[in-house]
Amino acid sequence: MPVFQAYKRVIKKSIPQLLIYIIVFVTFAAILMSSGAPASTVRFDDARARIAFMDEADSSILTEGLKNYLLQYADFVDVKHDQASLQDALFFDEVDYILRIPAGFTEGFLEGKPVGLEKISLPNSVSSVYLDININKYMNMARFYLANIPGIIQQELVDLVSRDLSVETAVEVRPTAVNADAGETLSIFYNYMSYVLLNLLILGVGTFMLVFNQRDLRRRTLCSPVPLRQQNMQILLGNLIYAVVCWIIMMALGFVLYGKAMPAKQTILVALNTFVFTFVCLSISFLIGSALSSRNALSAVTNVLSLGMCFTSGAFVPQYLIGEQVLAFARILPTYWYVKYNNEIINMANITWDLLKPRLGYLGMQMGIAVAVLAVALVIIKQKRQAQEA
Amino acid sequence: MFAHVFRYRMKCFLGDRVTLFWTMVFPILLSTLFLMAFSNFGKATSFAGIKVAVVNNDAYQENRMFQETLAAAAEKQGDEEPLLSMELVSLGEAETLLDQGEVHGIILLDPDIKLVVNQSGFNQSIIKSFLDQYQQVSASYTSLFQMNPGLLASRDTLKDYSADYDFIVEKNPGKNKTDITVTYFYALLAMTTLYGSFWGIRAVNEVQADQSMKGARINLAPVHKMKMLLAAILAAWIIQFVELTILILYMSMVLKVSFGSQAGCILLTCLVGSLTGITLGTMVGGLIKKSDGIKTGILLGITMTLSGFAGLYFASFKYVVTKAVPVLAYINPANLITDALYALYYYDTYERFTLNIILLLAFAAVFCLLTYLSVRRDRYASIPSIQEGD
Amino acid sequence: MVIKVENLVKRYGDLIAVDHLSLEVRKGEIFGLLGPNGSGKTTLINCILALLKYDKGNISVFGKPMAPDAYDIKKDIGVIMQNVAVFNELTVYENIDYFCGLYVRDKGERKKLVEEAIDFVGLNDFRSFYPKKLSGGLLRRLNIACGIAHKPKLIILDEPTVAVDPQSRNNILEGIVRLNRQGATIVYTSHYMEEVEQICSRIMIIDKGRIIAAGTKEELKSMIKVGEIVFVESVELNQTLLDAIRQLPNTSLVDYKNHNLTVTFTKGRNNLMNLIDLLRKKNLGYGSVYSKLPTLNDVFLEFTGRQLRD
Repeated sequence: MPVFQAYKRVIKKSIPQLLIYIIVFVTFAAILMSSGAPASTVRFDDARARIAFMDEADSSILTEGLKNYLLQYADFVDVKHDQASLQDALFFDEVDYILRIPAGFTEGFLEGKPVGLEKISLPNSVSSVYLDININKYMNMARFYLANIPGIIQQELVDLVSRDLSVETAVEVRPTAVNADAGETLSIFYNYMSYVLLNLLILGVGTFMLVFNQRDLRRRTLCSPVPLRQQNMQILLGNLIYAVVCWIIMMALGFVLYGKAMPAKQTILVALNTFVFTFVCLSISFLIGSALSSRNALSAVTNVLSLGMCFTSGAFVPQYLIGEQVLAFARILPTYWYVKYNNEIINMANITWDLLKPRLGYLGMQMGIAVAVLAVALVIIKQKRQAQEA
Repeated sequence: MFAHVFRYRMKCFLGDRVTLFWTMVFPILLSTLFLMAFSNFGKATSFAGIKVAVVNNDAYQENRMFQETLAAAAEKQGDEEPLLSMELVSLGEAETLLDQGEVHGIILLDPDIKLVVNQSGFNQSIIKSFLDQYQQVSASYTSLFQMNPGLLASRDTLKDYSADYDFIVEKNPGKNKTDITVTYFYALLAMTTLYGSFWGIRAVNEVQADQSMKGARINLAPVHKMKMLLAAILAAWIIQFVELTILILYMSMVLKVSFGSQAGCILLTCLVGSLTGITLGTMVGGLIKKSDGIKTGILLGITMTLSGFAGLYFASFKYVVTKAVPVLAYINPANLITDALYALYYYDTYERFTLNIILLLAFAAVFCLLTYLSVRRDRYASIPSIQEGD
Repeated sequence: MVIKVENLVKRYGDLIAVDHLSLEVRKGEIFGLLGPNGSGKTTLINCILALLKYDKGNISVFGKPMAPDAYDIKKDIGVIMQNVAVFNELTVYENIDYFCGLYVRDKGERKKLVEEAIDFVGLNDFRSFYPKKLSGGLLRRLNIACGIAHKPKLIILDEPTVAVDPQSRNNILEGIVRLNRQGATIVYTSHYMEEVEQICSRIMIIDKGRIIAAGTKEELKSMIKVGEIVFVESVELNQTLLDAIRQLPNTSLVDYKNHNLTVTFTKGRNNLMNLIDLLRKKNLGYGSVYSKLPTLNDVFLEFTGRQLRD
């Protein structure tokens, strides 16, 4: 199988380049894993915002009470109290909320004057709404007692408020198949995989097609006693084997890293998605390999196409961060359906046939795109051949 | 002579479509993708109301007070989003909604108030804080009446508990909007600036007899090698600066990315940054006696790593590095560029900007020196036969 | 003396590329440097041009020691390298103008020189072409034009005809002779003996960094035993006749294969006549007869026991 042998050699030569993508991916996955410690699913924990707490009045019983109360809802982050450090911490998302208690706050409050606490946060963020509610709750309750119990002293006030605020609602947590944090990590991992697969296939298959389609080399091969049909079959075989090998490597990675975190049902369904996507990549690579004729162009197109598809479809940043118009456009991209499928399947509590059915349509979309791309590739190949013969 | 060489270097560089692609077209495309990827960022992280399913059972129907409180929370107040958006449904329907991720939680009166969720999180915690508050307020009234039973009889003397008094005063964090996404664009700009090193490699290769045949020919001309190199660096510097200016104009005019308002300082950053980038290239080109492909690979590795540390892949990483190992932030030219732009955007003062620019200049000086030392050598140990062209 | 090399030694690690080599190139001559691939020709040239470090020896050009910063020497040298060294982003005209501009400051004069160079290599129809659009032969011509546009007094050509079509090759060789007539001293390296034989006035054969022989081509040929080689086609011979041929004077080698006879004679008179007389006397019919004088390949073969070409 001479053509197939040539295929193997070309791929072998590209291994260092291909390896870069895999190594970066593994590193990325390792960082991802270490950062997200899985939380327990059966217990409900109050969410914790990160707060920088600055008491300029140097603490009163009241503000200390507030601080202790907030421990339930926030982690206190130690940030230097100068303007630049606070600004940086907020900008780069080290804290969600900076609370400043101005000098004279407690006195003013006890005298019933209209006083305020200063906060700096990302405007209208969920975490700031959360802390706003709880801080206001504390202060309003203190105000209530202050107004209705004349002559109440600070310590009494704080005790009463703390006692009332310890009343809690019962929370029941319904378990899901994959816990939310792990689910997010898994989605990120499998979604990023689309970028790696795209690059592996376009570079591998594209490079081979480029070499093989060099005019003189192509002519020489056509002159050889190996029938054209057999040549094409060998190329096809090479492509298929290469694609399946890439897929197996990716699946093995997923299994080694996250095999435990994901239930078997989900693993199989995601593997199926990845398998379909691998073939979409293959047909895209086939198109690119047939249309281009230089390595420089190949690396440019590979980068632009893979980054472009992955960014707009939500393979890097979650789909909910992406605007509606962009997502509407992304519907024509296979990555969109691949990512959407992963997100929904991984985070699904119990997979039933009814829930699964519409998601299988996403696989159908991918296959449809693959066929369309393949058709375009075949037209290009035909045109190129005619141009060469003319 | 200098003008002659400069003119032709300019012409050659402007005809180098591959490098032009990577140093200008590619960043423009990538920045567009960034914009798309973050197009919903503000909306997604900002508070958009919490969806709850309220179970419509007998206990709920009987509890008027609770109904009213819920209705108040679901009411739009001014131009702010209401806290809750609720659906009144049966228990079964509520459970389906939760399973499908349509609601964040279920409020169930059983007959005590109970919250059912399937994960912990800010949205769920806000529901809980809200429900807590309802019960805590009841507790406060109860305890107040216990302490002072007289109050119950004379309602008018009871100072009302108005939970909606807002103690919190919002302050602005920095000069401009706290928007971490600008970091991605700044880091992209830093990456592009360091891509200038590709021009640098070319500039050095073409004066080194052991790197290219053109270099050999140029070494035979009666012109000082350094003069030739300087002309090439100047040409590359101008081109790179114009490319960066175009990129910045594109980002700010078309993509509407905010930069600080000091156009002069921003251009200065580009000017100094591109010199640092180009001389990084000349240094690597001079020190490493390997093929063009290997040099490009090495520089690409350096550039992408430095840009990563400057926040290209994950904006907060820049902050984490700066906080954990400040030295690492200061010896990273990509971070210096990102940080200079960040300082212009977010700070009122110029110290940090100035420090970044001075360090960038220092880097350029060191790179220049090392370039000089590596290129200066006049006779070569060996001149491999180099086949030019692609 | 245009070039003087004394006792040059250049090593690459354990390998001696140039081994105690001395040579002189005189004003106005075409000096041929002949040797197989890897014999050290290019290394020698690069040492002369002060591109390479060398371990021992002295090199002077135009009577002055050659150095990387000897700009007054460099401005009178033109070099055509083995590989094409032109910028793909510049047109034919711009490439020549660029390299010429490194030697000639005056714009008006440069314009004239560039035009002459284009004329010289016959690239008039291609002046605004980019190198990628040129065929291999035309590209070589451009390469040459870039090296000679500034009218150097010494032109060094390092295998300028490798992989060039015959038409371009002739164009190049004629050009070199013309340049020489215009007063330039030429150093020409090649592993094609025919070329060297055709144009060089003095030839040095080197192998493994050492001089094998040097002199005019006549001198070189007179150094070896072979006088001429005679071929007789389509002749019927038997062993007796072959023996008779071996008995002819000056015969050194007789070879008979497929009815073709090849006889190698050492130097002497009437070798061909003697052979033909013999064939006539025996009344033998034969096809074409021709004789060939020894070539530099024969010289190389005799000195080294190897063929010159690879």
